[in-house]
Amino acid sequence: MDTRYFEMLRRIMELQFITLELNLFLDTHPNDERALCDFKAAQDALMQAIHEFERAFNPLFSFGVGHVENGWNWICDPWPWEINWSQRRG
Amino acid sequence: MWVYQKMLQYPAGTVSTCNPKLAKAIITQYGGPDGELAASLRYLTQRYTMPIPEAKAALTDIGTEELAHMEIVATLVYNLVKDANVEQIIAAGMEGYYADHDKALYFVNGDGVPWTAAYIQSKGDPITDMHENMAAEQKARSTYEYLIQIANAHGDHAVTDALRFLWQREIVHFQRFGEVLNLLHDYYSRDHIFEMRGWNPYKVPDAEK
Ligand SMILES: [Fe+2]
Repeated sequence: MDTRYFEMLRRIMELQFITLELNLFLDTHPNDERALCDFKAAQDALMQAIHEFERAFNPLFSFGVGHVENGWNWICDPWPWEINWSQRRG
Repeated sequence: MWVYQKMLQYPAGTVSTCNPKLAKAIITQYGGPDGELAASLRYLTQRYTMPIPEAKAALTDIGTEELAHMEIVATLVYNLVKDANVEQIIAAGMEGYYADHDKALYFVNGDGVPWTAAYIQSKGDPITDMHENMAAEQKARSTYEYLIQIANAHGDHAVTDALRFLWQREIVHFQRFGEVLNLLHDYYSRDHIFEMRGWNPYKVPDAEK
């Protein structure tokens, strides 16, 4: 498997950690302008990273939310539990 | 409605792929009393009777994140037993589990006790539910601390790293639920609650008709 696959997936995890964390914060602080601004900036970067990954490899989301480009490769390995990130880091 | 995302929330892994003894301890966060299945189902089922939007949102989003944690725990267990042979399974005291499930994932605690809905509560009183949730987050935090000690003793630094991520998420969830509790207290201290069918400031008036 292309090392870019793992690098890009890791980048998406990092960006989504930021949006997830701000999402939870905004749930209880819906009027916090600064958090909302940070959320939007991180979301732009996340969407861009997901778009690039899905164009190069396979959709990251089911049910038509993810971008299908290279045939029906939603079913392609590896599935999340099949990637041992410790072995990948060497 | 939920949409699956084909990746883990955190790049979790294991140094050893044949350490069933460590897997046997970690599986409690899959199907044990303070595990991720219990957490997720507790929050997702409590949300229906929450009176304020902040509470509905926090329970939906944290309940969803807990599903992602369940997947991380499953990934650790799956990878820790993947290459174990029967002798290693027996040496780990995991033969009872093996007889029933082979190496498949099943919802049990470290001693093989199956998951039960009796682990969780959904009380209909939002204040009560939020106290339950804050306690649940603390219990999960404690469990991860014990598991980190065990993973350290096994020398599997990758497992320790993943457990540390899960551990710190419990602290964040505890914080968010504490904020929801305060918002609920604010909500109930307003006048309108004394009239049961009174005006709800969070509802669009038209929705009442
Ligand atoms: Fe949690």
